[in-house]
Amino acid sequence: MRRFITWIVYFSIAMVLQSTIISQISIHGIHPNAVLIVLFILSIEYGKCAGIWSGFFVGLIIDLYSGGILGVQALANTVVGGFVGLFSRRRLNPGPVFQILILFIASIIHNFIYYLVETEGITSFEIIYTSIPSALYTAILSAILLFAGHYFIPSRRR
Amino acid sequence: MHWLIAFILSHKSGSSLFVTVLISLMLINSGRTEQKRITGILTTIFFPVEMVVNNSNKIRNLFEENQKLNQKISVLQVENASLQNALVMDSLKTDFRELSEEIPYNLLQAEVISYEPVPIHRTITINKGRSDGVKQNMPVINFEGVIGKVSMVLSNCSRVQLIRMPDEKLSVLHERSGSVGILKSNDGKNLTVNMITQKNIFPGDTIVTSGLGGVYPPQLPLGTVSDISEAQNPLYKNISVSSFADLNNLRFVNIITLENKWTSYKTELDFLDE
Repeated sequence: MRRFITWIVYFSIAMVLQSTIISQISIHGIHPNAVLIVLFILSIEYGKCAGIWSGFFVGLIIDLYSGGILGVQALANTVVGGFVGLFSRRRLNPGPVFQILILFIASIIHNFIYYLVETEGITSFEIIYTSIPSALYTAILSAILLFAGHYFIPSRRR
Repeated sequence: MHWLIAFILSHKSGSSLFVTVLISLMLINSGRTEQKRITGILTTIFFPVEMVVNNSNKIRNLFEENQKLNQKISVLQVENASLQNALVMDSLKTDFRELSEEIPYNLLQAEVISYEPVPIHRTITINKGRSDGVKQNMPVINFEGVIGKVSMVLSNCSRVQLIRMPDEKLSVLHERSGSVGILKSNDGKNLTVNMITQKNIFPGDTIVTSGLGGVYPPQLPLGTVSDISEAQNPLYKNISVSSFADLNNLRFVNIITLENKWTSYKTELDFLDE
């Protein structure tokens, strides 16, 4: 239960950061996805099932307050949670560089689903072209956290 | 039914993914009215989260508001600086007008465009030159008092040598007693006058130009006596003078367009010097 509340707090902080500080550090309108980073860490730690359900509920909350089509973020985050869960520490225990690569791909998948459903008449090429900068920014930001976690928390080392 | 539960339990991840994706797709494909209804229900359930999001939105609004206020402050600061400048210019114009009425000479107003790049400058450059009628040795004053004289004239600017220049020697007059002395600056900072001993010289007395020497016209205010000390020669006294004009902060000055009184005797004077 304590762990559950802790993750709710983490997601809440990520959402608050996303709508406050993260929007301030955007470069040409491209900003990282803090919620995705937290979801990624949770899915890596606890696997597919936790990733899917967390992604679904977090996405649903974002949908409620974003004013867009209900269910889009829920679907995107669910898929991302499930995808990242495939590489969980229990199964593969990936190193930090590999984790960054997974997050980069997860970010592209997230944006791909989001734009595909939310934006009408957009081509796959356009989606990927738009997603890459944002995915890169998210990956770079998460790299700091992941490397810090890897080097300063001995239990996280392989 | 048992087999279904067993299947779900054995394929937790797959079933979870199936269920969540199915719900998401149902939500996406539901109609606008349906979505509003679901949003209403979910908003009630997620009320605590709403509070967090609302507060975070307030913080974001604070950021934006702060940014806007900062921009406004910048605009106001620029406006304020411009108004201050207008006030200074207006005050300078008034000073110039009053000075022109007070002094029976033609004045030419000039702006200081550069100072000598040393901590205590002894020369300044002004934006009036030969083309404006400026000539060498013309006296320069401001509304407070004497500043110096034009030492070099170029076509569009001139250099003014301040009274504290060590080379400068200026004939001055103790206004009350009428004693004449030579004002000079040995260190380029403090002004002193060597004057024949007079008992009735006191700190605070006014020193004006004597008119001797041919450069400065008589009775131009120069400064006040700030200190009196004994000189090496017992006949004289060293009088420290505090200038009326603030020589460190000059912005606008006035040139007295007066020909040097001794110009016509220049050849003879040069001959005598030799």
